[in-house]
Amino acid sequence: MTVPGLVLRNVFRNPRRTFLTMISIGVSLGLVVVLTTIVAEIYRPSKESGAIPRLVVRHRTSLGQPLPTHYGAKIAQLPHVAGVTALNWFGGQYKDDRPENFFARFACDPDSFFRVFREWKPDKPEYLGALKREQTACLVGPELLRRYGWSLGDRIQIRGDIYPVDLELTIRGTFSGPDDTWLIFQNKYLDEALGFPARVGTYWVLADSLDDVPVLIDSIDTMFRNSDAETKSETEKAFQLSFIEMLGNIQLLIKGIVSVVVFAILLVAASTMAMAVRERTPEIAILKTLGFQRATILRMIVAEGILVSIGGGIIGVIGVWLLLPHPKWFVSLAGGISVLAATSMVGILGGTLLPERRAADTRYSLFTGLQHFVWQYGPWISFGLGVLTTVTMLAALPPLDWFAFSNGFIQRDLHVPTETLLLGAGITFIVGFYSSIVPAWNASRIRVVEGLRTLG
Amino acid sequence: MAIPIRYNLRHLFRRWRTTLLTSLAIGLVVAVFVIMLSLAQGLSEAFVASGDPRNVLVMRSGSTSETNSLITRDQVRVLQYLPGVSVDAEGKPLVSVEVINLLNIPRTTGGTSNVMIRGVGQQAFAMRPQVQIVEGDPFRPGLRELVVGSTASERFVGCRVGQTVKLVKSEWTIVGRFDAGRSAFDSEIWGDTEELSREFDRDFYSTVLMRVDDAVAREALIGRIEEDQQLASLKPRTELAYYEDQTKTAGPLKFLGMFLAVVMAIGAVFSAMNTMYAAVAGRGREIATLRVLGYSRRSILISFVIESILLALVGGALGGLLSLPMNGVATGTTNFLTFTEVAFQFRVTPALILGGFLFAAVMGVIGGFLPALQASRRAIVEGLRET
Repeated sequence: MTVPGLVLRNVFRNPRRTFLTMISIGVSLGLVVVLTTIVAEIYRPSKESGAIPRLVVRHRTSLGQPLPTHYGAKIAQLPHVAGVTALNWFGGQYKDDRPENFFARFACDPDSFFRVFREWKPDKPEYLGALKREQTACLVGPELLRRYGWSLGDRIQIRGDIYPVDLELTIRGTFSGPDDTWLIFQNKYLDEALGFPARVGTYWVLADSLDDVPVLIDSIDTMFRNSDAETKSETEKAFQLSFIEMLGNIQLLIKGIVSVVVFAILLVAASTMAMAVRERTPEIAILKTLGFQRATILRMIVAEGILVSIGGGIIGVIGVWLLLPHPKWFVSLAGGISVLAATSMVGILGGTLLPERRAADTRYSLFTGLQHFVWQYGPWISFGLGVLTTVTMLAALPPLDWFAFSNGFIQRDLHVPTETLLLGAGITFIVGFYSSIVPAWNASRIRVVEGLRTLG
Repeated sequence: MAIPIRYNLRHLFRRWRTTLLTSLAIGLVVAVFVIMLSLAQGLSEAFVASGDPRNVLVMRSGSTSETNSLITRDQVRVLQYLPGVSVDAEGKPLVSVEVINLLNIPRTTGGTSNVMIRGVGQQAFAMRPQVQIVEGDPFRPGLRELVVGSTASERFVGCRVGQTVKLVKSEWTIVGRFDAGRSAFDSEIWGDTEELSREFDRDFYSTVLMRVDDAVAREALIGRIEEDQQLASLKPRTELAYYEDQTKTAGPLKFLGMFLAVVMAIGAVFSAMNTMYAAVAGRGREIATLRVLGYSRRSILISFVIESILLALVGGALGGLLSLPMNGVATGTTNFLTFTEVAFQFRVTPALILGGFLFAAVMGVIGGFLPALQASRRAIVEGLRET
């Protein structure tokens, strides 16, 4: 038998323990992958918008203060400005305030919107014409059509919350871009509905190139300094990051949780390796008598630790990678596991707390019969019910997407980025190595005589 | 007949390294559970401490928060003279007409956030007794003076007493600092309603706060506001109900905490299972001896489940200890209903620690059951034959 063969044999010497450890590592590692994927998704818009030379101008005091309408023309006259458009965040509620009915609604200037948001396009050229012509027209992202089952020509109502007016909009077309969940309508409609002089929430300015952006930020803010409405300009990326920052220190929170989870994995793996080495003390002594070097034994055990960890990593990382784009599987598995846990709890409490049938008692009632059955097959019943739940949920549930599942928090389907897969692989190796290095070191230093003595 | 718990304790001590590794893994799960929920707890407490059931808050009926409420001057005039409002010692009605604005301002810890600038009437302090000036003086009406909440003073740049801050057009002096007993007001800046309306070019007020003597007077006042034709666009509610509604901001935190805890628990349960299987495997002879002594299969089962629970409870204690240092740590998030920052503290309450112990015990039961079942099913003869 070769040394790698021996290592493999040792991994599966106690298959139940190896399996439990692998699942334990796998589930936790899967959690790490899910968390880092969600953080990547939260920061995605700010990352992607970094490549476009666009900046956002708002009132210095806060987004709650509007800017005058004549600022747009003044900004457009500055050198290296390729386009300016005004955008008002309408907010409001579609149907109700439940998060799944939340999406971005903007009052825009149809004449200049697509010139500044140049990576966005109306799906057909005539849609833009309709938006310009008809005061109550709106364009929506194709994802919204799918989500709410709308079709072109439908009328929708948006209740105002920031603004004290309700909107009656007609869907006249779709438009696509980095985010397919926006709704845009005419600025003019909002101004007339409000009945007071038009104001602008934000100006979005397209510069000729990325190099012009810093100078432009400076010249816009300088132009309006000491006026009644001073401005604050920033890159689109900084503007989006500021919203994430407002949530609080998410990165710190998630990084903290991820490190705690990794530490927990390390503990689980280390305790398994310690057990594995302890029960093998005499065997290692024999290996030494056969002439195995300390270094060889050390390497063998570290290799074993890494293999167990890789097994867990494969379960966790690949599992999440496969499951994450399919929330329905995710939910069904979670349902199955919950049923398994709940029925085991019931079985355990029933089995331990109910009075025991005495051996002398030969009367068999339905109750004692049931008790006996549960006693004998309880774990399998739980497992069976868990599997049954998962299968039923898979069959019965309507198609789910992450948007509905997360209450509107995640706007599109999740996919695990390559960096996250690499991170998972890295953690797997580190856990495998550090969990086994101490037991391996101890094993390599077992003294032959003492080791053999424990053979008894 | 039950096997004494001392037997289990001794075993846990004898294998203290394994016990420690496994219970620490369980402890980490408990710590994450308690800390995440303490975050949600602290946020909820900040909101609940803000509202007073004796205060009636009047807002525009479609608005979701004070920030986007609008009340016209005519409506305010009607509201001010409604009967049934409490009066102070000098006979003046306890009413505060308020205007809410946002100021985007750098945080001392980096980044920027929105702080709520609340314009209040002179009675506001009497109506919110938790708000006490602790440094400097209250602002004087008609002047560009502000008082700042203790947390806002710490968390935002340039908000100390004596400093000036530019709102829209002009510089305002911070003349005092107030403490609001850890409520959401601690994250706010207050000034005079009329002066702030001018500064922010506001034609409308935001909210009107009215004090009533008791529940009967409250219902009567709410009824009067709802019936009045001129006030048809407004919706009255108790201030407490408004702030309780804001606690739903803590919902996602709670969900995240539960989700993390349950997923991490799966890993910890399997680890406990490993430990308990090892414990059972190493004790074949002992178990058989116990059976020979007359202990039933079920006593063995219960004994091992108890041992697993004890192991998990050690973890629960470790988790509680690990989470304690977070108690009182200040943090903040943006309430996206008002679009303003609310500062709060992690609140590790006894109830949360107890919840952590319960959670640990459940992990112990589930992790210990299968090994315990195996132990109880062993044939006596086989066990005695073991080395």
